[in-house]
Amino acid sequence: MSTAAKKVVDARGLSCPGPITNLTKAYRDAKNGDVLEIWATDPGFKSDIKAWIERTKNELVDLREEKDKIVAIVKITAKK
Amino acid sequence: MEEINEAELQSESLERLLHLVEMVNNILKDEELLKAISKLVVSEETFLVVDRLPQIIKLIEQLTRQENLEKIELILNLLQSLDKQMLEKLGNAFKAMKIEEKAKPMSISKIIVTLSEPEVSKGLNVVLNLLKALGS
Amino acid sequence: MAEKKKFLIVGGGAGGAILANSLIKDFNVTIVNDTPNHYYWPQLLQIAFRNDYSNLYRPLSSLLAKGVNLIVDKVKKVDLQERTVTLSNNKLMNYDYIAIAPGVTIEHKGIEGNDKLVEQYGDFHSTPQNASKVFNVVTNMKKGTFLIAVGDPYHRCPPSPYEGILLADEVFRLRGVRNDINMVLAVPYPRAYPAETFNEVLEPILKERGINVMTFFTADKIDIENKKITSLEGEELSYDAAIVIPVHKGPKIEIKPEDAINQDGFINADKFTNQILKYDDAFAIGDASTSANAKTGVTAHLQAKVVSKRVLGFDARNTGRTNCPTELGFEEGTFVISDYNHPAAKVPANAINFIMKRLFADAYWDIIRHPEFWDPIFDVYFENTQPEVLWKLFR
Repeated sequence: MSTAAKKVVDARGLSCPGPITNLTKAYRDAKNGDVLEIWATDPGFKSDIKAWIERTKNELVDLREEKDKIVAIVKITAKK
Repeated sequence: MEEINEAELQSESLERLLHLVEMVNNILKDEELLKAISKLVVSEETFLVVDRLPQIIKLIEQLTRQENLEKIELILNLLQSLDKQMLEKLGNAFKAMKIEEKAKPMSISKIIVTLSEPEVSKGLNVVLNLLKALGS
Repeated sequence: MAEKKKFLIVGGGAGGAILANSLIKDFNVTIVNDTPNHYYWPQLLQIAFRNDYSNLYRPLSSLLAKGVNLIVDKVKKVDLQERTVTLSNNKLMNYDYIAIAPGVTIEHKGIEGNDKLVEQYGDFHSTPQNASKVFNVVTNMKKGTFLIAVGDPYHRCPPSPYEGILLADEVFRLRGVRNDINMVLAVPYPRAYPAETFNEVLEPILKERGINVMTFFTADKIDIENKKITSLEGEELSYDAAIVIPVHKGPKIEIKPEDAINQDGFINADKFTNQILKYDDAFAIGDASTSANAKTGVTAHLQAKVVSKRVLGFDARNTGRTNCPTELGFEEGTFVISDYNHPAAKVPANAINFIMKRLFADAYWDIIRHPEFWDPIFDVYFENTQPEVLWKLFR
């Protein structure tokens, strides 16, 4: 039985071009079923990740604020 | 200790100077730069100034003549010595004298009527006193 | 008197040349460059949209201070453990200190169809020949969709896609064909410019000039036959002429140990000190290094200064300062000014900024050649234009 790959994208401390571009990079190599966990400190990330989900039609499993970072968990479902 | 060759230092300085000249030359050959600078320097506003330059120069020359400078200084000193009440009266006098915004030439009858208005004549009085004080 | 230590510099671009000229008093400096020439890469934009080749390159030897040893050759391998560098003919050189600054490798094959696309329409991130192809396009195109799409968000010069589309817009307007051309800029970001603050300056300008911005679009596949570009995010854009900003990878140099480079070939360097891993005698600066997000000449310049101070015992550190001149066409410009602790200030667009960009470009060769003269001038400039100062000025 194969488990879908889970990858952590550490985008903490980055503000330009921003955590979304780190996500895009990981997205390039990801396959449907993979789970990406993104860490960011840029406060704009919360609204940006929601916008990305809306455009790409992937699944946002969780979006939470931890003490020192924002964590987003994305399940890849929309890759062609 | 290394010996500092004076000739070498001199040639280095000369070379440095040459490089600076090269750079200035580069700047002067830059069409885009020159276009931008001339656009900045010559605008509608600056063109007006350039056009009126002879009059502006004349005005500056008049203002800076010794006797005019002295008069301006006198007025400034006077204003400083006036008490607040007097200044307020002066201000009101000028306001009352203010002719219509549209600068339409007033008819003679209108001028006579304006002159006889109480506020205006009060104001005129103040101005006359002021001028007397200046002794011009 | 003690013999000077050997400092070896790989790459004679902005970072390498300024570093060499800054170290010459205290070190025995050797610089290795793969060609005899030093290129001012921002000129590619001027070639692409103005057919202006002046200021493109000069012989590297004319830019190096007396006493710097120049070797024109390719570096095949760097061994940080053994402290050796292998040249193309397998000649081995050793060093006391090394700075690796060979820049990026442009990989058109990184996006399917990009190598064919660049043959047709060119681009302004690779070679002067490809840039001249762009000029051909903008001076001949009469109607249709003109598209600039970012294929790699970590490309050289963050403002360049915006400069490209706005300068193209200028050319089309001057030619009187602008109304028949649909201009599109496709970017991978959630907004036109990734940094939200600077986007507030740039987005209105793009809108005013009628540029259609497509966000969340990372160019992934180019269908040459049908003239369509598909994005990673699953969308499609048609074009009549298109320029894709290509994939950028690290230098084609074998570096040992392997963990000194990341999966894209860039050298893992500390973001404050430029030091490579635990090697306190090895640095990576400029585009080839991971020590800054912005791949610009200013970054390389500032990093070179930090390295030159660190090797003399000073605790100089990168501030992450950017100072990217952004041309907007019609003799106007702005700057992207930020650092590690401050987002980009909202520098307004005006003619003075454009003039400053051009003055800098014209002074570039002198700046490379005489850091001892320009250092104090830049110190004053950078001090007085710190992002925190600018934030107070331009709210």
